[in-house]
Amino acid sequence: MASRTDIVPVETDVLVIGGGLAGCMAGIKAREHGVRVLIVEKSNTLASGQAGSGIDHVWGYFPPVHEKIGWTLEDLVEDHMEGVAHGFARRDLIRFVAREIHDRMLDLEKFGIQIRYEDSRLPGRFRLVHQFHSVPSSLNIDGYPLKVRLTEEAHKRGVEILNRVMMTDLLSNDGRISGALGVGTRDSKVYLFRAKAVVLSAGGKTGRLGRESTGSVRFNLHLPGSLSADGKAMALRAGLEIMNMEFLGARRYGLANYETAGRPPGNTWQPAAAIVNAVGEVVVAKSAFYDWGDLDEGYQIDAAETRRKWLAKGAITPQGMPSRKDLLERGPYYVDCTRGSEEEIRYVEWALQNEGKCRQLLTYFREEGMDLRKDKVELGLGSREVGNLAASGLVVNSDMETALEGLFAAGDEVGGIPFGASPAAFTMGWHAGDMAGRRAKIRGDFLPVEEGKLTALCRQCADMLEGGQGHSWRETEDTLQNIMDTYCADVKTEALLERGLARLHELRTLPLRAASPHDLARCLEVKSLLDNAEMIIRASLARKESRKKPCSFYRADYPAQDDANWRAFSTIRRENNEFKISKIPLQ
Amino acid sequence: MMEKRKEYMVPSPFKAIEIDPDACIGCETCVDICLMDVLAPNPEEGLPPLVAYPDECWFCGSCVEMCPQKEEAAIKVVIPLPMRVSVWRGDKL
Repeated sequence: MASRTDIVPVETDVLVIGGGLAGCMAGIKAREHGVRVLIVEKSNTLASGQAGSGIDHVWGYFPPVHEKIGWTLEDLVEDHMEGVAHGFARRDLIRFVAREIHDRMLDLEKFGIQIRYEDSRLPGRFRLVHQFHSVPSSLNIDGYPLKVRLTEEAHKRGVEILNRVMMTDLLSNDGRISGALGVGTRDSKVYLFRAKAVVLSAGGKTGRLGRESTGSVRFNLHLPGSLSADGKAMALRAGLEIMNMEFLGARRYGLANYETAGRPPGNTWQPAAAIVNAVGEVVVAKSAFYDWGDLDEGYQIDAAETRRKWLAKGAITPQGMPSRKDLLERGPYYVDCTRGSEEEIRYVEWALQNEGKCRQLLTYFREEGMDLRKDKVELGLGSREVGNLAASGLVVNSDMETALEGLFAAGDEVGGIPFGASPAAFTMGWHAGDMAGRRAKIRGDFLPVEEGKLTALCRQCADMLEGGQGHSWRETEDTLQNIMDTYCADVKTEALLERGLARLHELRTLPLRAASPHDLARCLEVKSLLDNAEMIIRASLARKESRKKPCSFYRADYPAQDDANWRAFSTIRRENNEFKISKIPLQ
Repeated sequence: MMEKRKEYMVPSPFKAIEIDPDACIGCETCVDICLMDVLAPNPEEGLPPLVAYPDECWFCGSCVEMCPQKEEAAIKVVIPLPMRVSVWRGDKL
């Protein structure tokens, strides 16, 4: 067992777990209350999280433009609820994110991020493009340096940042948060954090619970490989309720083999990209820059009619988009920008420069002599993810507070916001930081921490570092991925899920072995993945129905959609080693 | 120290990252920022870092972008074969 001298005690007023977009925003805002703020990050805030290699667009309601054309905040909320979430979302949180994002973008501008463009004729010189809603609602930003600017701003305001510490446990006392535990990823030291308020913003998602991609290239995922849904595992260990775990994100189209964010033909690839089949016939036509009309002439849209047309077209996924069956039977399909004008292709290249991992993709294209003006790139299905479309995550109130008093959650840690993505991180991070700062200020002394959890973590780390006979994180993670792909994939049945659960329990009993501090952190990540897998299988067992939208949940033994019993979020929590599942009916 | 470091290294089927020892100034910026903790400091100060865990690279390219020797191409991401895109060049397949 690790000696007590290896334990690093740290005290702060506000502790932020995870230094991605949400965590950095939380830290920056919390500091305005004059309290001590510490962001703890598993990697380095300069490049970590899903925005670590950039973002080119951020959805939300932008009054200077949208009000002018007669499209209201409620129109956006309705679009999101109906076309994106198919009712499976928290309307209050969607509205909050959409409403607040404009102000957060103005904050970003103060932190040094470009949000206005000389080539735009829109009010504010904003550039708005189509993404999720019937009217273009995604603001272009030069978001490649986001994490560098946010880290600089945090430092400037006196926020402390501790990189290379992975968090494992939340600590509480009588229903109130008292701190957290973590382990140094480069020194294996155990950290004991005592805090008066805590923001959990560790990313929520992971792409590591399936192995559908490219064999030995383990971390060829669109989500950062560092994401192992540690926050959800911590929440489970703390007895908190987590919703929608059964809904894995469906595998989505991207470039074959090379996984990035920003999928063609929409988003970052619009308006130049079309999808063509193997003989060059257009399957999905390219789009065009949106015609905003003459705003000064008082141009107004008919919001209801616009939504009706957009829904009829298939909302965010065009009806003509090849299905998975099409891909198998009629593929291959290609992303084709060759019909784009030079202006459109330059715009797409600008967007790729700023969007998740795509800057590196462009470098690779150049090295390969690949030119979007002449060449087409094959389309394929990407990795599955826990989180996004289904928006699984913690149950919070409208101030982002969890059932544990003083523990706030933000960004992808919060459940009920399908495609919340960066707007959810910016807005909820800011608000969670605000609330945590206020709470820390009025709370008196630090609360006692749970010594038992500290001792258990020390023993667990020592066992893995000294365990000669254990299994490496690699073989354990591979086995877990096999279990998920075999027993909890596209087609689920009670028999498969029960068998998967049994195999998961066998895997859990096998000891892990770490050859270095780096390895130890990976082993702890695998522990997070194991906890998430168990929640997913159990929640899948509980949902005795099938539901195509928004999440492609299919139980072969319950093939019909059962709205009478299952038009509801499921929640799962663990109490005294027993899992409890309940439902929150949709409004 | 070197011996211990070697023990940590895992054989990888691909490179992921290539460092040009002539262009690298050994500042360890890349070691500091790497999302996946793929790189390790060289035990000999001033020498290029070690690519300790190539099979854990996420291919984000942050090491390339933040390298002070970016212009000299001190670090290059090498995309492994299974990850390479399938390209329909010009009019021909």
